[in-house]
Amino acid sequence: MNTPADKKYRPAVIEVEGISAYYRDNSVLENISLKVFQGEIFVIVGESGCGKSTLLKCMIGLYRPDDGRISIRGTDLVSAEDEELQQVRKGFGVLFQSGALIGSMTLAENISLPLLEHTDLPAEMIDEIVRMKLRLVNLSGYEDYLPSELSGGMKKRAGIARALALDPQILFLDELSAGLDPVTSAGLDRLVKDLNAVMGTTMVIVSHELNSIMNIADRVIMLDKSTRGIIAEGNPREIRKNSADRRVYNFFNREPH
Amino acid sequence: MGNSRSVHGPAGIILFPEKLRRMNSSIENATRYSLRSEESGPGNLILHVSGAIALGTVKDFTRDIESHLRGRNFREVIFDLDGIEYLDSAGALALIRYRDMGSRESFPVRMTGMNAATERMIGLIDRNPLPPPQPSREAPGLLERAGEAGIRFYHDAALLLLFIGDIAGSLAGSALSPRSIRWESVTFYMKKAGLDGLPIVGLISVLLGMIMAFMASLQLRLFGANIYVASLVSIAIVKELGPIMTAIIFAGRSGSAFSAEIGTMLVNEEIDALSTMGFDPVRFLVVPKVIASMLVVPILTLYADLLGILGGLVVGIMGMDLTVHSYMQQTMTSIQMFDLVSSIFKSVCFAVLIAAISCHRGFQASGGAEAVGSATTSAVVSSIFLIITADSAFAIMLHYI
Repeated sequence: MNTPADKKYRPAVIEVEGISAYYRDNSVLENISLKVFQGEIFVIVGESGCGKSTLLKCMIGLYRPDDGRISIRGTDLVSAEDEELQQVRKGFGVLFQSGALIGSMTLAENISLPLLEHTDLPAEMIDEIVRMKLRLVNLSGYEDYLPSELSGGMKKRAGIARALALDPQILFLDELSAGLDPVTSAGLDRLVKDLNAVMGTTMVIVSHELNSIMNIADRVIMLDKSTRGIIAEGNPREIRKNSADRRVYNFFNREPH
Repeated sequence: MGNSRSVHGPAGIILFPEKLRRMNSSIENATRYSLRSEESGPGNLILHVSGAIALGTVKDFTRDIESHLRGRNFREVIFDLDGIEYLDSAGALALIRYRDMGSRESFPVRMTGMNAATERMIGLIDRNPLPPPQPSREAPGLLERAGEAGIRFYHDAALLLLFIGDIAGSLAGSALSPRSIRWESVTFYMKKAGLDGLPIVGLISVLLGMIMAFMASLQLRLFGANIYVASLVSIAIVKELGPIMTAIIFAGRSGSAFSAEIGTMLVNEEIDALSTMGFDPVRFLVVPKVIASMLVVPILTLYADLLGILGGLVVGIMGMDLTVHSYMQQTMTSIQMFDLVSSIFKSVCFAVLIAAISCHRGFQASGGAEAVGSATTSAVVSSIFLIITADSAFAIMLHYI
């Protein structure tokens, strides 16, 4: 088993150095720097509208920051050519907020999409891998369902199955447990921990669910809307107990302003 | 008997944490495996697996294993997994398949030398056993499908009638209290569907008039009956083509927009929101569209009639030595007031049909973005079908009036 102690002294897989991003004329992120280390579960928290999703979009190369540098496994995303970016992207999986499944395809087709594109496996092997991924997220038997026939939580789980299709080294999960019932949410937490322990997958998670954060995170950062920067960083339990910053304390102890 | 391959596959390779310091995290290293077979006794096969068994190598790995096992009988097969450095879920799945094969075949299969990481990976897949694949349902036969289509058509027609009844009720209610009609919506749709449609309706009508006049002139010139081009064009345009072409363009431009708008609102639960706030969706969304259509389609039709005749006139003057006066004279004697009135009456009917079926299709959308697309397509196809059917009915009815 990995313990947090094992996770020290690992190389950084994602390095964000001084990025700033603007939306229209408003600054969303200002001079953010952080490192995500190999095999850790890294959680980004903060109140709504503080730029969590923007930061995540920058990290996956969908959004170019106006300033600064982001590198994943040594490749600088800001200056990378399209082809280089594609190569980096193959090594990570992304769960979007609402699953972002392709509406015209069944679940099985959605999940086999990256496998068909990036591997040359025969159809029956892909079929088996797809069933295994759906089993991992507890959606066995839904292979032939269309996304529109599923509930929100099921779509999210199917989105995770698709993100896992290529056994990525890094998983980005946007709003992992938002809108899910506690049982499903706990199941996803266990899956995240399992994948992390078994495959050493590095996880970058945007989340609001304190329970889930306390349960899975090795390290969290908290973004703040007014300063547009990082106001807390570290182990979530220590932050909850020891933070002197009122905003951080309130967030981690569920207290209103 | 050794066998080794290197495959440069995708980057779907997992670095086991404890191996990290030993391996240069280079993807090339991670996509190589080797398989060495050894027969320790008669019928005892040992397969030494090492390297990476992952998405990029599992296809060749499976083929290699099959070539060792196919068509032979063993006393025991042992997979020695000691040398495995990378194993992802696809690789684990393949290994598990061979392990479980032992219980089906006559010979046992054993896995030995698993390191902690390999064991954990296989354990993860083992904890989540795959259910047997579901048998796919047999495709229905021709008769069954024909029957289903018939039933669907019947239900669809019944639903459409109900919906039109609903609209009629709402329209009647609105007529009794005109203040309840959302007039700003009506004017919005009149502009969208009417004013903005003028250029395309005009262009198509002028061209249609010109084409008809030109084609007719080729024939009528042979008999010296040039002047009857004016009659032919005006009768055809006013009685049939004006209303039909306008209706078809309206269905394509505005009917599709109506159904897309309602379909998207339905998919986004906006219509549920309206209902819970106490609005009647038909009254709120459909009635303004129907009223706007009923007002603009007849105007568009008259405009199309006029421009169609104008197109014929241009060809008549330029190509057939007719004068403006004689052409217009002939046109006026050919069409009667009744024709114009029936043209307008028809166009009002078409307008109601298009608006009703388009909104109806919008309300039938279920699912996501794709459902909105099919609702829109269906709206245009159904509109055109209804326009042509209704026009056939009008042709017979007007003949006997």
